[in-house]
Amino acid sequence: MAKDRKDFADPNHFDTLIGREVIVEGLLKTEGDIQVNGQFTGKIETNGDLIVGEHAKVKAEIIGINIYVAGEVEGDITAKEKLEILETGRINGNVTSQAMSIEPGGILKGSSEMQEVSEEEPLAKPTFEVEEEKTE
Amino acid sequence: MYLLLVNPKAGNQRYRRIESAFTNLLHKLDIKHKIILIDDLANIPELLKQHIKTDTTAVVAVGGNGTVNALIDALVDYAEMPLGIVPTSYTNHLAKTLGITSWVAGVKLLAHHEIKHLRLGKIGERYVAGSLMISPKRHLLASIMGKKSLLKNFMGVNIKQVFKEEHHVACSLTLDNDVSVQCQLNSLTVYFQDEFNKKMKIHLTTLSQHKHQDSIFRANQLNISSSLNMPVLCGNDTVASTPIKIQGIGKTLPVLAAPVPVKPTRPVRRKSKI
Repeated sequence: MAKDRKDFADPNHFDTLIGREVIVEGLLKTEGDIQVNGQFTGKIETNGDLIVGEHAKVKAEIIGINIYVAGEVEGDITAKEKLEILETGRINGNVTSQAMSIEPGGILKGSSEMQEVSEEEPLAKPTFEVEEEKTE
Repeated sequence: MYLLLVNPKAGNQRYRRIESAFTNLLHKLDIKHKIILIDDLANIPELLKQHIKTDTTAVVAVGGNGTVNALIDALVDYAEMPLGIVPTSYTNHLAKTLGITSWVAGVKLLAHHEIKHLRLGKIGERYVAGSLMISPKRHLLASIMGKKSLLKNFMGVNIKQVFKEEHHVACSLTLDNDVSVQCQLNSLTVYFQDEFNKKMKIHLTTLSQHKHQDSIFRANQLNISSSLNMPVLCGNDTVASTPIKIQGIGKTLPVLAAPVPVKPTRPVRRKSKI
């Protein structure tokens, strides 16, 4: 499910949080949400969401569910659901997603491939119940 | 029967001052027990060998962090033997985690408690539970000196805190051999008990532009090396120093904890339709 912006500020929300001026290298593989505010080099694989903060510098191949980019990313990105490039976000690489949005100021240098939403697994489940009309 | 291992030196020899009240409370609550005084924490494994019998309900550490940590390490060899804590020092960190605020509460807990399982960690060959703290700025005296006071105000030294270089140590962490982390470490806390992924939670505090920044990682194994050797504290008990390898392991230790109060259920009021 897509994140609310207020989730960005809550450090307890994340499975992994990389603070500013922390330099991380390697394969980061988790089930939960990740926020990167520092520097990361390597590969990120998550079954949760990823937020690349405004001051972050990421050189990595990224695979996640919903990906929000407000910093710099160099590498290919696969978002299983949505990719959002915010106004300060810069991506230098190829991106694949089911849905994508780029805010004014956001930059994508690379190709973009949109995946079709499979009918069996809807992108978002309806949060309300539809009342069926009774026919007499 | 509870086997009570008492460290008379803990908490500035507090047991000597509370001894009569302590035994009176045990008798009042009708708690069957056997008290053994510890002369040296290194003798705990031998004392357990001698005194744990088939009718022993739990082994109780009566003392501070050092007593509890030594007993945890020794109890690993006794599967399913629960640990109880009666804190006689003022800084027993594991007791606080289990909801035991005083020695009286600790004794009362022997009569009425629930069993919880604490996940264990390992440093070298030593077993630990709860959490570990690693920091160059960890002394109680240092934190007291760092606080503002009226006296300092009078002396004109109550100025804005300046982050000193020695409070931030160049540090390298390796998580599960997959991820390496470079940082200027201010403090690092390792929690063995974590509901998230059942891995250790590593809470790292660093300094960036005169502001503290938090980082959170999860791992089953953590290697720490630093430019300055830092103590590894379990409560206020130094259990090792860096460079160090810390592991979260699958073993758990049963402990006596304060029972969770049952919330009274409110009767459901139905709105009457007019």
